Amino acid sequence: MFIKSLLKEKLINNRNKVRAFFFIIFTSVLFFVFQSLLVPKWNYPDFYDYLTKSMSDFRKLKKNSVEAIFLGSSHVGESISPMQIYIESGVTTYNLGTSAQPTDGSLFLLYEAFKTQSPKYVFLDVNSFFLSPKSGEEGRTYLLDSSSLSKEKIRLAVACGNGGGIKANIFSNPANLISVLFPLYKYHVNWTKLKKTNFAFDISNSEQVYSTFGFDMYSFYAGEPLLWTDLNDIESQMLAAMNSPFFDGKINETYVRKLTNTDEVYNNHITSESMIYLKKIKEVCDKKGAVLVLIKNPVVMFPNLYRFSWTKSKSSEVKKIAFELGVDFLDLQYDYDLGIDYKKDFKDFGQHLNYYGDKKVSSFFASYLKDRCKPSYNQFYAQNIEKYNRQVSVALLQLERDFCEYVNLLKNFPEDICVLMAINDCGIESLTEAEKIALHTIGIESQYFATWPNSFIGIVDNGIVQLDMRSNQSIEFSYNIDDKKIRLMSKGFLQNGGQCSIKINNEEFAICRRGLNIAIYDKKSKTVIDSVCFDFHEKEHEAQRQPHLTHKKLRDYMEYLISENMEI
Amino acid sequence: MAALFIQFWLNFCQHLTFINFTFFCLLALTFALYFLVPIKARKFVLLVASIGFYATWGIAQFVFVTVAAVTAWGGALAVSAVQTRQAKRALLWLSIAILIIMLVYVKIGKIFLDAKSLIIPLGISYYTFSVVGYLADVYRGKEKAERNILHFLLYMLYFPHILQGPIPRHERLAPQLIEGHAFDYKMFCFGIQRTVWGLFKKLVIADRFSVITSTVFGSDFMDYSGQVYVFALLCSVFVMYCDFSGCMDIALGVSESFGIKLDENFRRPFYSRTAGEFWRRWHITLGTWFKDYIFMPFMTPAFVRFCGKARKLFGARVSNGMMMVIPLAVVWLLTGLWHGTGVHFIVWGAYWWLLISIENVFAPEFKKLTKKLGINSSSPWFQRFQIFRTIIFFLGSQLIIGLGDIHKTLYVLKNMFTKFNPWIWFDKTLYSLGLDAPNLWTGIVAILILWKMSSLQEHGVHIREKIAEFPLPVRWAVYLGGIFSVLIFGWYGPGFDASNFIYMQF
Repeated sequence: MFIKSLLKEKLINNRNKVRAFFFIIFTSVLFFVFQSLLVPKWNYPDFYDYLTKSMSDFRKLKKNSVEAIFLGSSHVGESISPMQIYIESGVTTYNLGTSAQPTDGSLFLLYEAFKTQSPKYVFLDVNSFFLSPKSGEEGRTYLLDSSSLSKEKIRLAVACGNGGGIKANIFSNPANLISVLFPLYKYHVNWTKLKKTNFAFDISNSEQVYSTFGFDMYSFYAGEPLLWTDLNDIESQMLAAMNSPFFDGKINETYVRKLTNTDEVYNNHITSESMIYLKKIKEVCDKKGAVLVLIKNPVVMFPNLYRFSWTKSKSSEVKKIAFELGVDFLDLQYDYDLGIDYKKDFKDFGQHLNYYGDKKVSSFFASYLKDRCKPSYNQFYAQNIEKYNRQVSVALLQLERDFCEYVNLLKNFPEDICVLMAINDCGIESLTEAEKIALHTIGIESQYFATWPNSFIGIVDNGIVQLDMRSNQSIEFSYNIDDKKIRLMSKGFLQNGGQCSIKINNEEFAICRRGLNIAIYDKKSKTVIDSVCFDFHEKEHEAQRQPHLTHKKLRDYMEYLISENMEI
Repeated sequence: MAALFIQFWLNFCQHLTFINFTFFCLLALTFALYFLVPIKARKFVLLVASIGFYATWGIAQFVFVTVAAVTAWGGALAVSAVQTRQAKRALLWLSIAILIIMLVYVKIGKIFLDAKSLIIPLGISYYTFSVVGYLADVYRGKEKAERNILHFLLYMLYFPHILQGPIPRHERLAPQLIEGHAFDYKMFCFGIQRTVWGLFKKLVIADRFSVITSTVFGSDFMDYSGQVYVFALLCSVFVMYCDFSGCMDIALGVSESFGIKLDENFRRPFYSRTAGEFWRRWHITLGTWFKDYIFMPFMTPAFVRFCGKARKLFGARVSNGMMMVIPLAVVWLLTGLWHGTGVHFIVWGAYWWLLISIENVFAPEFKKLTKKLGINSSSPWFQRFQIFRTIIFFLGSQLIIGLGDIHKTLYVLKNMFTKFNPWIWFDKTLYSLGLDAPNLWTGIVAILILWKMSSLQEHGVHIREKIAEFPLPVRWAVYLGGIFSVLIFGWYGPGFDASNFIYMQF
C-alpha cells in the first residue's frame, strides 16, 4: 500500500523502485550472511556454547533413534552419560539437561525432542519444582541461546524475563525477542573471535563430529584445592544435613564459598507454576506414548547453602505429586544405594557429581533401561565409543590422587604423552618405597631423591627418559616437541626460596606448589591434559590441582576430539 | 486490547532515543503513515509521532511540556493582541519568566531534590530556548503569532529535534512542518544515509571510546596516572564530538527523509583556527541563539552610551573591548549555566570567555607578533598550528567539564604533568582500559574514516552527492559498508551499556 501510494504520486520512478527493491534484498541477504558468520558454530564446546552444541547434536540424530531422554538442571546434564548407558546396556538415550533448567524450559525441550524423536521414556529432574519461576531466568537464557527458531522458542523468549511467562505475551520482553529473531543483535561482537570454523558451511551435519550426547563431563574433586583432612572434618556434617530438612546451619563456614540463606531454600512446596508445566509435560508424554519418570540424582549439600539442595521433606512432597500423577519417582539419594562416596564422587562440595559419580548414576539408568527397552546397535553411538573412552582416560588421569596409581595410569595411557616434572621447594625425601618403585618404572632414578633439599627436573617423552636432572643448585632445561618450546626450571628449598616452572610456549603449566609438579602434554592433541602437584612433605602425599583449570584442560581435549578428522 | 496496548507501551516503548531498536521500528511506521496520508494531513502524523515519542519519557513529563507549550503559545498570542508597548513587554516577560522558572526548577531541582520525585522533561533546555526566541521574535514583530495550538505543539515537540536540538527557529521550521511534503526519493535516501552516518559516529566511535573515559575518569580514577589521563582525555574529545554530532546527524537525517530541513548544528569544529570560530562551528544553533537573543539585545543605547564614556576616559581600544567583552561575559555565564549548575560549568564558561576575549582584544598584538616573527599567517603550516591550538583549547575545556568535578580536574591536571610514563603508549597499557586491541584499533580506523570525511567536506566536497555519482556497485558497497559497520562494530545489544546521548542531560 505504501509503495502503491508512492507510485500514485509518481515520485518514485520504476528504475528507482527496482533499485530500492534489489537494495533491500541485497541488504537482507548480507544481513543473514553476517549473522550466520558471527553466530557461534555449535560444534565447538566453548564454555558458554556447550549447551548449544548439545542441542545441535540432538538435531543431528537419526529420526526416532533415541529410546529415552533426560530433562532437567545441571544435576542431570553433568551426571548422566548416555554414552556410558549405551556401552553398558545398548540403549540409546540423550541428555537434555541444561544449567538451571526451569520446568517450562523442560517443557520447551520436550516439544523440541518430539519433533524428531519418539522416546519411550522421559526422565525429568525434579530440581526446579521448588523454585519460583523467576529463579529460572538464567536457565531460560541458556536455552534461548542454544536452540533454533521455532514457535516454542518464541514462547520461551516471551516467558524469559517474566518469571516463567504463564501470563507473558510478545510485548513482555522485547530485548529477548529481538535477540531470538535476529541473533546478530546479540552476537555481532563475535567479530573479534572469528575462527576458521565460522566460515565453514554447515559442519553440523558431519557425523564425524564427536558427541557426548548432551553429557557434560567433570573431572575434579569436591573441595579442591582443599586437603583430604579438611573434607574429613566436614563430611559428617554434610551427611547430617542430608537427613535433616531444617539443618540449623552449625557448620564450619571456613570452607563455604557462598551462602544463599533465603526463605526459598527451606521451601518444600512445589510451586503452582511448576505444577502447571509438570502437568503439561505429563500430557505431552501421554499423548506421544512416552513414560514420564521423575528423578533426583544425589546432591549432598546443606539446605541453607545451596538452593538446589535435596531434603527428605522435598522428597516426600515429590512422592505425593508422583502418586497423584501416576508416575514413578526415582530418588537416587534416599531410596537407592548407588555407593556414592561423598569425598570422591562430587566435584563441588556435594552439589554436582564428577565422573566417578556420573559413572555410578549412569550405570543405574543403564540397568533400569536394559530391563525396559530393547537394546539395539546404533552406528552414531557406536562410532563415538572410541573417542569417549579417550576422554574418559583423560578424566581418570585428572581424578587420580594416589601417586602410584597416577604413575600406573601414565604408563598405560593410550596416547603419546610427554611427562614434564619439576620440584618446587622440598618434600621428595619422604617418598615411600612403593612410590620410589613407581617412579623407577618410568625411568626416573628415584633413590637419589633422599638427598634434601635438591632441585629436580625430568622429561619422559613417550616412555623414554629425555631428562633426569638434579642438583643442589637452581637448574633449567629447554626442550622442543614439534613446534612447542618447553622450558623447565627447579629451585629446591633454600635455592632462592624454592620455585619451579613448566612452561610451554611461555605459558605456565606447573601448579607451582610444594612438591613434585607434573604437567602431562598430549602430543596428538597438542594440549596439556593434566597439571598436578604431589606434596610428598605431607603424610598422605596429597595430589593438588586447580579445579577450573583442570576442567578447562578436559574441555580443550574434548574440543580436539571434536575437530579430529573433521574436514572444514 | 487496551491492557495489551499499555503493556506494549510500557515494555516496548520506554525512554525512546535514536539508538533504540523500537525507535527505528516506530520510525519506519511513521514514514509509511506520513507518505500514505494526504499531504494536508501529514502534519498530524508528525504530531502524533512526536507526542508518542515524548510520552515514552513519562506522562508527567508530557504534561509539563504541554504547560510550557500553552504558556508560550498563549503568551505570543497575547503579545501580538495587545496594542501598547508596555503591555506587550509585560506579557513577554511574564511568559518568559514562567518558562525560565520551569527551566530553573529542573536545573536547581537536580541538585536539591530526589531524582525520583523530580520531573525532568526531555529536552527542556532546548525547547525553552526555542520558544523564548519565538516569543522575542513575536514581540519584535519579526513573526506572527501561531494561532493553532496543535501547530505550535508540533513545532515544539517535533521528535527529531526534541532530544538534544538543534534549537529550531519557528520562522524556518514551523512552515515546513505544517505544509507537509511529498515523497522525494533523493531526500529520503540522503536522509537515511545521514542517519546511518550518525549511528556510525555514536555507536562505533563515541560509545566505544566512552568505555575508556569512564574507566579512567570513573570512581577509580586515582588508579591511573600521567599519560593514561592524556589518552583518556583525547578519547573524551572523540566521545563528546561523535556523541553530539552523531545525534545531530541522526536528527537531521531523519528529518530530511520527511522532507524537512533542520538547521545545521555542526560544521567541522576541529578545523577552527580560533576559539571564536570553534563556537561558530560547534553547537551552532545555541551560539546563534545567544548572539540573537542575548548578545545583540545587550547593545542597548544605555550600554553604548556607557561605553562611549569609557572611550573618553580610556580611549577607543578599551571602549571597543568593553563593547565586546562585557556582553560576552554574560553570554558565557549563561552558556555555562545552560549546561549545568555546578561550579565547573561556570569555570568552563569563564574559560571560553577568557580565550575568546583575549583572541579578540589582543588581535592587533598577535598580528604584530606574527609579522615580527616572520610568520606567514596564511601559510598551511601556520593554519595547522592554529587548528592544533584550538584542539588544545578544547582539550582544556574537556578537562574542566568532562570530569564533572573541579577537584578531580585539578588532581588530573597536576598528575598529567608530574607523572612521567610515556611507555604506556607502547606497552599494551592502552588495551587494559576497557577496550581490547581489536576494539581499540577498530575505533582508531573509524576515527580515520571520520577525519577523511570531514577533510573532504572542509574542502567543499558534498559527500552524498559525490557518492551518488559513483557507479552503482561502488555506491552500494559504500552504503552497505556503512550499514554493516554499524551493525557489526557498533556498541549495542545485550551486555553493552550503550549510553544515552551526552547532551540529553542539558
